[in-house]
Amino acid sequence: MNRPWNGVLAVTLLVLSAPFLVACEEDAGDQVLAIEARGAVGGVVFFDANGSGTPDGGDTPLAGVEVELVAAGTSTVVDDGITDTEGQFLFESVPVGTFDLRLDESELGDTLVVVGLDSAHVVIPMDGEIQRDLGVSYPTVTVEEARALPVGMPVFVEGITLAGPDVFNDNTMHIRGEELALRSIRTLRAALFPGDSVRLRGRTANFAGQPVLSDVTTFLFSGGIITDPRPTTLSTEEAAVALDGLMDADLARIEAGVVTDTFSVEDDFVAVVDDGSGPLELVLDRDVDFGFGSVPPGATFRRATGVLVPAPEGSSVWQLKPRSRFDIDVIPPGGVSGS
Amino acid sequence: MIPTLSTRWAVVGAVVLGFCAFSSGGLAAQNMQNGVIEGVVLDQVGDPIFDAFVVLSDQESSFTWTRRTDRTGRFRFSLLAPGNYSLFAETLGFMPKVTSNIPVLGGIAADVEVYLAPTAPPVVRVDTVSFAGGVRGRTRPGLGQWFGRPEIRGFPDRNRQLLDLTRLSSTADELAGVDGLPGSMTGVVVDGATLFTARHPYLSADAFRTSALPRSFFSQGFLLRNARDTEWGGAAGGFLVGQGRRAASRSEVEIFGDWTGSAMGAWTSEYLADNPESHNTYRFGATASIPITSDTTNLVIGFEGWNLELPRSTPLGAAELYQDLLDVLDPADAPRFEDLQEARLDRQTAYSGFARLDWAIGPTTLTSLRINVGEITEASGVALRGSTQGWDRVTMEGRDVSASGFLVSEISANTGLEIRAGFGSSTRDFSSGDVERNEDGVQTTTPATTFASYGLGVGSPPTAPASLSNSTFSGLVSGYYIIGNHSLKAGLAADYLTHDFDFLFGGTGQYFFTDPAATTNGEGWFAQAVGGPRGSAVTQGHYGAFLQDTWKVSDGLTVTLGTRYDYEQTPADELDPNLEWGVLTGTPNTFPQPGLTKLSSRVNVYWDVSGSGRTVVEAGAGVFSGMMDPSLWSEVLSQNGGVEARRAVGDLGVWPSLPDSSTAPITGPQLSILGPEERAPRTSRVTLGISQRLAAATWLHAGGSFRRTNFLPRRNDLNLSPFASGVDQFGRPLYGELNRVGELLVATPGSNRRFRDFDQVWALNTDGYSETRSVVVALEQGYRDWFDLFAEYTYSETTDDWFGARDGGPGGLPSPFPQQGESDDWRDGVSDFDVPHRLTVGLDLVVPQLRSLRLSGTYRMQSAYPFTPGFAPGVDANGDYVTRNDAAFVPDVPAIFDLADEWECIRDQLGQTAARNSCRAEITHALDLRLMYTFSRVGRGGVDLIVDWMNVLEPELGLRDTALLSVDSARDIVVDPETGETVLPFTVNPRFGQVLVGRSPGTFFRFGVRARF
Repeated sequence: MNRPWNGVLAVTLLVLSAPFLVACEEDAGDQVLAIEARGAVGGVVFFDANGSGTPDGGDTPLAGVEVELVAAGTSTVVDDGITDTEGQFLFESVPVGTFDLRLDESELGDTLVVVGLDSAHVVIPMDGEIQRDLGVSYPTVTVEEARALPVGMPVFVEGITLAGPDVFNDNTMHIRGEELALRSIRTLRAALFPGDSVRLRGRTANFAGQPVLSDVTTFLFSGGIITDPRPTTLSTEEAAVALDGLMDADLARIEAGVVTDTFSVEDDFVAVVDDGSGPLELVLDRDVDFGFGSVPPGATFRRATGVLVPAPEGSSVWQLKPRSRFDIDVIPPGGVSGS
Repeated sequence: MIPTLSTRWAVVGAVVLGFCAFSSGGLAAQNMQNGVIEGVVLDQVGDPIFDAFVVLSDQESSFTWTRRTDRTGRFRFSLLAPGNYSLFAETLGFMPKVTSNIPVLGGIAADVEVYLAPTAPPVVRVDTVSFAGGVRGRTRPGLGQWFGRPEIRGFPDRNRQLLDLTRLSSTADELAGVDGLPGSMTGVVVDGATLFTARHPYLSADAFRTSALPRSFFSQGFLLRNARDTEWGGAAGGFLVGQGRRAASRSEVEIFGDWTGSAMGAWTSEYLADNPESHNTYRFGATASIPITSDTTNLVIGFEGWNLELPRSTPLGAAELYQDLLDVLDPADAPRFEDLQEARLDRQTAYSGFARLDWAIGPTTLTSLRINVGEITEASGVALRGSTQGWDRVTMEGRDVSASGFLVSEISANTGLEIRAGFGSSTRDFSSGDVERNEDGVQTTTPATTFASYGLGVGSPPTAPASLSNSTFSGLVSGYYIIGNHSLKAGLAADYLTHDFDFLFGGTGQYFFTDPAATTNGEGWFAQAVGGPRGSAVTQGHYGAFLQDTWKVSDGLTVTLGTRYDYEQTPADELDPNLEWGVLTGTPNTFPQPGLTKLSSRVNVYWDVSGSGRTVVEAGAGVFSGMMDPSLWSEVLSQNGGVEARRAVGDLGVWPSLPDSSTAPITGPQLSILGPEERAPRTSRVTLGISQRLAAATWLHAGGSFRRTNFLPRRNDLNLSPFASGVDQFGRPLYGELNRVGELLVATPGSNRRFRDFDQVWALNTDGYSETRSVVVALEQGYRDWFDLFAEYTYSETTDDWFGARDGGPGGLPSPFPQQGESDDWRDGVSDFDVPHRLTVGLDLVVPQLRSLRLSGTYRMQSAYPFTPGFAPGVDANGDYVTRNDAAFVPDVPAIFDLADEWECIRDQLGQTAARNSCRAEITHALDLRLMYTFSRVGRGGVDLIVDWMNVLEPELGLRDTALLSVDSARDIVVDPETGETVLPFTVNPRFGQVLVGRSPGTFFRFGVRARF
């Protein structure tokens, strides 16, 4: 019974079995939960001719543009590609998550920017193919920014219409932003009415010493600037200098302005009015139907509303141009008022 | 054909499993509640003596049993309660002999050989010897430790809980964590019934503090590391086993009480020298032993109560913090923070009662019923000692009921049966007195507020309030059958658990500021979990079957082989995953399993090399499967979309009120998802130990062990951006847009998210591991009843990738470098539970000339717990939303040289990112002494006067400032234009390593009295 070799055998068995027991441990790699899902994102790169941010009529696809997929909040380029002849790009098998789409702007013209991309990030879900179109166009700036830009910059400017291009029949238009107004020249005709939100595509220019937007195409849109299109009441002296230029192209009103002189310039009737503070040239555009052609000296503009435009001579003098018969209320010398 | 490696493994596996199958009937000969003393009576030449009269006496209870030897001289006593026994043997013509101090351990048989010397009548004296067979001592290298009467009742104790016994083991920590695993993984078994106390998910290292298990109730305790019997299941750590005491053979009452307090003027701690707080600690209890029917039915009843008050020093810098708060606070709010400048008192009040009824139905059938109830209240910092922030003003109230019963029967000489059943109920309520709501239900409490420059927090901690409860039903049926040299055992076990969690981490809000001034200047950040549900009910079932063969191969050689199969029923069916997240990511695309299957095989060899017990070799290998942490289930069941986060950075304005929803908006749902193929923790252990008897009562033990535990839960944030937003000047990947606010760093809410409609989305993967290699050397020496010494030293190395397991909550903390590969995982390093050196010494000394005077003491030396040099709280150095997981880069700059002189870990890591747990404080020493004088004796009774001198050597304990780097509020975050790196403005924190919140226990005397009658 007492056979010590049995003990040796048992210990040997133990030693043999011990590593077996340990070796039985499975690799724990299978226990790891990780996000393996992938999705896709694609779209079209286009020239956004109307600044709408979405490809629509008149927009053209851009081929050969490098598009990058960037992890949101980082500079890590997860994938990149070149648009095809239809302007299309597609990133497949992308890890799900939040990304930004980025165009190589060095391949775009100096004046172009990416405008059609939602400011929100692109969220790619599992097995989803997200469509994100990338518009390339001119930057959209405010009226205030546009007035400060150097001459020659193509931009979109958004504002509210003060006077549409059909009002004076001279392809000029007036819009107001949050604080300032801007006049456009060489504006394509369009039926726009005061209060319309409008996006102007044009090029910054200088006319009569004031910044303007030239070669302008207009686009109506909704949900634009909410501002008050009502005029600011000024004295004739203040109106004549557009409140030191701050109200260039803006809508102003004078009251109790007595006509001290009249004359015509290129068929437009000009009345010099003075409310006692100083003279102001009030221009009755020949293309606007005021119901009368002239006003004699001594008459009184009890109220006159219009846009302020620089005088043609380029001096720091502004004229007030009423937009319609409803903008004026004139009292003939010794007579009753009419508009 | 040459077999492949995998084929060879398969063959080895088949052999082992086949052997298990062959021996599948193999069972231990005893149940785990009782032991056996068997042996043989021989004459001087070794021939058996027939019909010798053998009397066995329980040295504790005085119960006696008698037998007569059979024709082979053998005798056997079974169903013995654990304890020490004396064996008297006599027959005509021989000198009677008493063999004393025979230890009986639950589930183990003691083999006794009694040699009688022929003597001519008349016999006038009795030969008396001390038992020397087998391994009698406290240590079984590799297997565990046994705690007997001296440990339970003799040595000076820190507290009255069963848990306190683990201080006497060099392989366990003070919270019953065994072999480098947390105490929460240690199974607690009382009289065969597993005890599941309710646990706070973020304080899980505290295993089972409860008043329901006072020392008075126990006669014996075990701390098992490599339990060989396959009956042990359900825990991947060790097992702390308590055996309830049985009644004495006659009526007996024992009462005790002790007291200490400030009035004694005995407090000498440097921390407490100026502490005016008065405190009183008193403990009391009584136990009655009632033999209802002598030798047949016995009852033990008892109760204990205590009120422990321990003064604590004020946290470092707390008084200054209070003064700074006064400068910015509304005077009406100032009283909330007055206690910052005051010394505080940790208080634990507890009451418990117990009863145990033993009924010997017949000579071979024994039944027992017991019930333990307890109520415990802890206040002021004790309850949350696992927290890293030093929060105070939290109370914990707990109630426990545990009842169990067993029936053991030896049906025949070679067949036995055991039936056990148990019930348990446990509640734990954590609350902060500061958490209040007005009549509209609006929280008016002070949210958790951390001031980075102080490293301190005020307000309600993020871990409170919490209300936790559970109830347990358990049962076991097992039987054994002895055939030849084989003892076969089989059984079925079942545990049914229901848990209820009402807890939401950070639910009362968390503020982080540089200092109080920052509360008004907009330099802070805020986070809060809102919504619900706040936790969930969790049901778990655990059903097992086990088979075992104990094979007595030869004299002195026993091999035990067994296997155990367990099935864990999970609440997977109740999961309601967040569909929106699932649609986005495809996760969860693998649903958790409704049940987990586990196979645990064990082998053990016990080899008494000489056959005389002089040299014993014991080796074992086994697999131990635990259960999944129910708090993981609670989290995944409840955080599926209803719980949302809100965050704010910068100007918060309204502290100490909560910011409104516009200041701190919702940042999205917080989700928790269980990883695929989840598993319960599983441990494999291999141990080898040798015990050598050097003299009659001198033993030297040595052993070594290897443990690997797999499937530990780890946490990672699925919704952290998969791409770094940059790197800092040290190469650390950064996430999101990082902001400096004062001395804090924090990511802009949402900027670091993969999906910005969601906040943190936690994957709880059971992919972690832990390993320990350890060597144990122990010496035991006794001399008669005068001198009893044990010393046990363990050197161990514990590594794991279970980052934040100590106080990070379920799943720990996410990696600070989440994009590292598995082969370069920063988390893989020194474990939070790594304590390389532990030495425990116990001494019990009786002055021979003055037998009434007894001196005893315990000494414990251990390495400090490791920590990682990091950043101040509130500094999210990598922008991942988690502030406690970032390791500091150790800059090689002049400002750090002083720290490098003081801290070797800093010196060794200059110019590198600090490795995990690379620093640790000095080794601590703790020495407690007891002087006991028995000044009167009445029969078996007597009165003992006891004086304890606690913490003669006082360890410096406490929460340390682990911030190596602070944020320089004078500099901004900049991006280096040349390198593209984000340069974060750091400075060296000169306070690194200092104790912020002292936890040293203080030196004191305690006076007590114990009386028996």
